Amino acid sequence: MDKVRLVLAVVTMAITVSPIAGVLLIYRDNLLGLVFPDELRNIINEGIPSSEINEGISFSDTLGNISLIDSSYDPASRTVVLTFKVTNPFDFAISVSAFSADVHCAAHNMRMGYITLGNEVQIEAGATSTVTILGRWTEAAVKHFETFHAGERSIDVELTGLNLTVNGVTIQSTENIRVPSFPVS
Amino acid sequence: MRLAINWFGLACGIMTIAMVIVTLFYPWWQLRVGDNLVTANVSLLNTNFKVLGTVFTVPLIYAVNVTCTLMFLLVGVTMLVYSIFPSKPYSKQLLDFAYKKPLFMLIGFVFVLFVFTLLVQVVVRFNIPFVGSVTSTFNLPFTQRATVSVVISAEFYWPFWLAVAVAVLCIAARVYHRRFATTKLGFAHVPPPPPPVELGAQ
Repeated sequence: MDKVRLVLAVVTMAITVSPIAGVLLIYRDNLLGLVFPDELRNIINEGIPSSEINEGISFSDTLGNISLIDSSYDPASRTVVLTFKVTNPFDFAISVSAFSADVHCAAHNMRMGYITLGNEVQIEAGATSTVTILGRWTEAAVKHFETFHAGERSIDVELTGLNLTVNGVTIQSTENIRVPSFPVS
Repeated sequence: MRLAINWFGLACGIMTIAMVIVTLFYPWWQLRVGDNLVTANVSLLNTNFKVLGTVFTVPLIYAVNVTCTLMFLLVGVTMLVYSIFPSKPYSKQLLDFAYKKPLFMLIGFVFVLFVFTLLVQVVVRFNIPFVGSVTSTFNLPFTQRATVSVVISAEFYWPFWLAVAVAVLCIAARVYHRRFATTKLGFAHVPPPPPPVELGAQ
């Protein structure tokens, strides 16, 4: 009977010690790797923008390749419809469920209206999808275009009060984000 | 001859092995940050993390998981052997070895999980629920003018309750063992047969 107890104790000891001893042996030259695996280090190094990216952050840096493929303007409703082609540079799917911001003329610091996301978008890892942005200008903005930007189809703008929801994460920024050559008509 | 079996022990042994197999595929507890941004699948037997589409394990936790897996398998096999031979001289040793372990391991798991979520809240000031959903808000590290809100949810999955059932069955098997301890042959109290009546004795 004592033999049974002894065998169980030895097996328990072996089961408890062996796996821990095994990983300690494997990671003897890199003990930090025991709790901080290389995959996590790679994600931190490659997947998250570094703190150095502060000023002059651009959409293409954060959201991958973005290119305008179509734009249309309806003077009656003062609404501009912008269609972008967006490529997801990440290894995971991104879903953009909300996007809105106020638009200011960068040169004259005048509020021109607001932009919102036209449709919820799901972009698989590495895939490309179209994103529709709707912009609605104020009457004052239209007069501003006619007075200061006559004939221009795009101007430099600053986005304020940015509200963006990506993969369930909502980012609200009070920072002014400069967007060069923003199509306005 | 009627076979004496501790049915609670038998059920416990089978369920323990089933629980080990199930837990390789389903977590006991899952933490989700946002919409598939970060997922932590946690159990005593299999823990992995999925961050921004990359799946990985932490080697030290993996070693603990292997230990717990082998321990649960040992408990399962021990309970099976015990429950089929509950009246053998060595059966008490088998039962004493196995019946408390699932309960203690389960209590340890819940305790560590609770302390971990509490520590994250206190040390990192990041709100992580033990069970349920919360919305955590923090400033982006590279600018103080942007706030990030994210829904973090956590819940226990059915394999955890299977583990709870295993722990309860182990205790039930120990209680049921008294039946065998009081009857050396492993039978219930059966009155001895009456002496044969001799015909024509009058």
